[in-house]
Amino acid sequence: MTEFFVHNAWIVPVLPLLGGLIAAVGGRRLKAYSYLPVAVGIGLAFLVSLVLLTGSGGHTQPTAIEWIDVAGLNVPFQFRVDGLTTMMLAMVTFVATLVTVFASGYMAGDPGYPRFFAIVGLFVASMTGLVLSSHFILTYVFWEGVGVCSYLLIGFWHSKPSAAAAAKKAFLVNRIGDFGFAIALFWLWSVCIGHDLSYDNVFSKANLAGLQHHDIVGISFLLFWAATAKSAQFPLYVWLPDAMEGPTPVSALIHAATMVTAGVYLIARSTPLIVLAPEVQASVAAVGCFTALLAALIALTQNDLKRVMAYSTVSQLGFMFMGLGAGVGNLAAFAVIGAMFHLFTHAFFKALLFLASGSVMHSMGGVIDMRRFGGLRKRMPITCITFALGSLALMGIPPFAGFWSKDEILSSLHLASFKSEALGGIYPTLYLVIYWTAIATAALTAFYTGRAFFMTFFGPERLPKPDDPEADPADAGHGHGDGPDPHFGHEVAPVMWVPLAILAFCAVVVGALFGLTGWFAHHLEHSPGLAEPEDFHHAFDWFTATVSTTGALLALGLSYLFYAQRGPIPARIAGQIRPLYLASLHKFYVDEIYNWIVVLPTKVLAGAAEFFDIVVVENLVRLAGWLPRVFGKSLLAPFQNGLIQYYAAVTALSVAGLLFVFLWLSVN
Amino acid sequence: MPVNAPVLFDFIHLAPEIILSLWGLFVVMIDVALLRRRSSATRGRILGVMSIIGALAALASIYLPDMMDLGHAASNVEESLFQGTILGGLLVERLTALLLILLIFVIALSTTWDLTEHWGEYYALLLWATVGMILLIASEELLTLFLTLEMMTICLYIVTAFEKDQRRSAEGGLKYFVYGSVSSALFLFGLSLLYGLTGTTRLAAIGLALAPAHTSIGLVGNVAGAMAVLLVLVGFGFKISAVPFHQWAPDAYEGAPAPVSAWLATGSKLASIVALMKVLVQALGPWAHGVNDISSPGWVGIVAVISALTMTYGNFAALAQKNLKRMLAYSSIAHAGYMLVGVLAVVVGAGKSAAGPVLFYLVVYSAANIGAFSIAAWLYRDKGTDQIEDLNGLGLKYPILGMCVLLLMLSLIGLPGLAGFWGKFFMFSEALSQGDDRHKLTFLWLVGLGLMNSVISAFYYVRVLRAMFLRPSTGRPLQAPTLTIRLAVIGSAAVALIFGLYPQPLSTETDAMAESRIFITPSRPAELLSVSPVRVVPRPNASDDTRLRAGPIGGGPSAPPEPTPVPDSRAK
Repeated sequence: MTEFFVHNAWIVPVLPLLGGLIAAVGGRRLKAYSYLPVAVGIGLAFLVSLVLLTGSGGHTQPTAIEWIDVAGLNVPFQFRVDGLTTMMLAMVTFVATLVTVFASGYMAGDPGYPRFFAIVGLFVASMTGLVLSSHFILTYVFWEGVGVCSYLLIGFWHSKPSAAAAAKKAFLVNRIGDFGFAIALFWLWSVCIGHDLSYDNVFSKANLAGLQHHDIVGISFLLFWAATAKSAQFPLYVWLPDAMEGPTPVSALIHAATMVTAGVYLIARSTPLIVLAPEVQASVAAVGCFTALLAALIALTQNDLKRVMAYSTVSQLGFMFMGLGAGVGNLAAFAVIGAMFHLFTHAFFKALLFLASGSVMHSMGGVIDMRRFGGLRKRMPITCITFALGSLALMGIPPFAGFWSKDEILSSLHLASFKSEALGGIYPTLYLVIYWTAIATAALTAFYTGRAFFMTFFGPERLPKPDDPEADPADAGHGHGDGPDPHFGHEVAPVMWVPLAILAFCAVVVGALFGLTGWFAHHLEHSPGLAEPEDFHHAFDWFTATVSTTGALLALGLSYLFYAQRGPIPARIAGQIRPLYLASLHKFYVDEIYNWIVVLPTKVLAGAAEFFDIVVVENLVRLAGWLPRVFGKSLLAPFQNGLIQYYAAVTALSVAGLLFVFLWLSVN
Repeated sequence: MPVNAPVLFDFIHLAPEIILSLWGLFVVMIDVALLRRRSSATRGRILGVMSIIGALAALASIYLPDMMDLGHAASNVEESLFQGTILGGLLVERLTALLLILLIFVIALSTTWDLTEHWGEYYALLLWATVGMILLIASEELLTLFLTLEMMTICLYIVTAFEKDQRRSAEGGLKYFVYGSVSSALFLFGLSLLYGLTGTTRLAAIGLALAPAHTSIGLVGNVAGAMAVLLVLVGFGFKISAVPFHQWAPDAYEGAPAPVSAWLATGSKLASIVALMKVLVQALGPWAHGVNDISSPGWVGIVAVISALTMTYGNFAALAQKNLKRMLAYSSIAHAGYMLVGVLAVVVGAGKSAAGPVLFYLVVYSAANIGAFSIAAWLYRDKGTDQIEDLNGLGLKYPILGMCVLLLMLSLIGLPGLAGFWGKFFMFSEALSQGDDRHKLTFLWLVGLGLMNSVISAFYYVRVLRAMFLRPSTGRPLQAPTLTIRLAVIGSAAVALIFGLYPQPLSTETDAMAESRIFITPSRPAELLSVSPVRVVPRPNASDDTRLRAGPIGGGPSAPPEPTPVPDSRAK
């Protein structure tokens, strides 16, 4: 049976797609059961992925289906089943299954219920297709597919202006990255052997040996450019925090666990190419480091719980890029596997944190501002515990999942600062700076996560007032009248907390289970460029582990002191460094700067283009429409006069004319 | 088995033609014998179903030899019949199947309204026209080619004029007939010149006879040859409605009943383009152009001019049309222009890869036109007009059909994701990759012009969509279409969509077809190449001084040039 699924891996994307189609077509009949086909489709896809995960030995390539084949461009529907793919497949479908179940409760009563699940089905199909494809162009197709789904889901409540604007922003920023991807593909196409863009050919030794160094640097850089948009890295990260306008399950699934990791996946997939360009690797690490630090600093002061999580996602993605960029020399496999491992564990605990935030938001009637509620630990015990476990994993406290993966990234950065001495130049210093910045960022992570947790669940109990402009008591589940305020603050229904519990369990164990035992690294070995070389030995880096854990614990303690009792200290500190505080609160004014540098000039240009269009182009088009009519009426109509004898004469004359042309050509 | 001794068994390869011919007679007999007393509408329906059965039987008979494993044993010798004047093979087999499928749709469309009371003759003529088309594709020899061309055309003259109570039908038929007669005369004159110059009527043999002397210089100073080529082009230009031999087309398309117009635009054009391709490549190839320059004497320059004129004129004229059928007529003229670019690419590149895209284009174009003309049939059936404005508001009243028409029109424009796009893309990209630098410029111009014309064509195709979706319905809305119209529209839209998303199977198929017959098949026996099967033999005392007689084998008028032996690329 394993053999069958390995050779028919297309089943994995097709199952959620079918579910989505059924939900889309039958939505009117299914009504409140619209989630069912999608959940079943994704669940089955997860089972198939599990079979693939456990059963595929090494790398197999199922038969390709010819799709486009013209001179110089051959794009087959070709999937691959190797370590990297099966790992991603299992993770995506697992998280998606839980999120779909959660959403079936969370989205209940929404008028767009079937539409939501139809798009989720389409998204899972695209995402699994993305990680399955074995051809750059096919990857690009699915890459656009997940982009579209993301756009549709961010703007799910499209009648809300802020959601519509956020969707547009996400789409436009992602287009910038897609542009880089497209150019990378054109470039690859023109330099690769046989213009064949399948992974097997592009990453083959013969092909890589034939590439010029500037081609490798250029292509790798463009691929990284593409990744920065999809995976929300500086300077293209701005869309992700706004994307929180979408429903929370979407934020959990797409904007935390799966789609935003597509960029990381692309870079990991391209390891054999990128490893040949140390310049690009260093910039990947540097950009990742800068993004991680920037996002963590912003997260320190945000008051919107989901936004804290969004910036934390950006920051963690930055960690993954640091890992990807640390693969100097024979360190490549170790570093990339570390980054992928962080991707893997992050998917679980970040999806958990988002869903838990969603459950808080659901219970608070749509209010997500942490200043308006607090001390919820007694009212929502399950949410509180699961949130706590997820937070510990995010902080990187041993033995939770995040610790193992973050530690691998940190130690590969540490090793990179030694290994890069062979390259000379500024590389060793650069990697050392990145290493220490990363450790500091890890401590910041612990601090802002602790802050969010304590503000939400500790301190005196506070609930949103029923007349709160944003709160909608009808949203807040079903009140039983047992408390000062009957509308808010109930634990959510089992359909919502069971997925939380499962994810919390994963957030506790996956790190030790897969990392400590070495299963993860062993599983990924069969992917191109991820086999650890013979001469590479790695021992557990006690120094890094100790330093980062100590830092995280200190930061956690500090956040307890500051926020658990709501003391006056944070306000006093903020008052003392007011400019810095304001900068962080306003996200370092990045959006405003972009607005001045990019958006306004573009708008001016667009205005000019519109003017040009109305005055010049439209009149030209009118002229173009007018000319043929006049031309036809005055010149052609007399020829088509309906007289057959005339037609015969025209024919004879035409023959004579053509003969004349012909003879004239002969003379010349 | 000696090729010149056809045995009864060989006729199995003519099964579709034979079945269609006899079935036509059968339909006429049933009509006048059994169904005399029935009303016209009833007879139309019964005979329509019968004709479809006949077409289906013919379709089945194509694959019968394979299924019963009879054919291969008998036809190892090239599947040639009647001393090699007709050749079978993959190309003919598949195109026959395609023509029959199109024919079934045309017959089905004919039943939608009571266009005549002579139903038996009508269907018989449609079937016989199809026989002519199939044989035209299969013919390998000038006289056969001329006869089959006439067989097809004469049947079409009559059916064009079949809606007798409509003046425009009779008028269109008559114009088509007169114009066709003139061009047939010119065509025949061209053929006789060719025969006089080469002493043979076999396509391949003509090519060989011309090859040694003319390959390097093309047609320099050869006025007789130039005249012959031009007159042959007149004949084909008339059939495919290429400018300046197109003038019959708008009148005939508008006058003919919509199913007949569909058949003119698809079957007749398809068969003629394939035949044109064969004649140009196999027989006239050596005269294509001189070695030094593509614009140097040779017919490539002429065909390029005709192609450019055809697509530009067709599109510009279509812009001004308000009548749906007339608009489609001009659009079909424009498509002939695009296809001539592909035909040129086949000739210049002599690369087999270039012929496949032309066939691909033909398939896609034919399917889309069947759908478009069935809209015309729907309109005419209900309102008795062909005006585009009568489609107003239709798309909203019939959303599924509206979507299908949307797909069809976008496919005809050539928008990506639909089959029409791939048709143009394959054909134009092959054209750009053919030949060396001196050809490139010509093709660059032609392809550039073709793309510009595609943009222009968007205007008039979108006009149909604008009427259907954006205009409020005026007056009485159309009644629901009949099942056959629905099937034709949905079927052709499905073709446009499926091959638009997944063009690979069709393009593989058309490439294989092109491989099999467009080019001179290498393994043909030497004697077939050299010998004219038809010779002019003077008769001592006869009032008409020549007659045609089947000639013996061996000893043609000139010494036969030896064909170069090339390994059979189609070896199974």
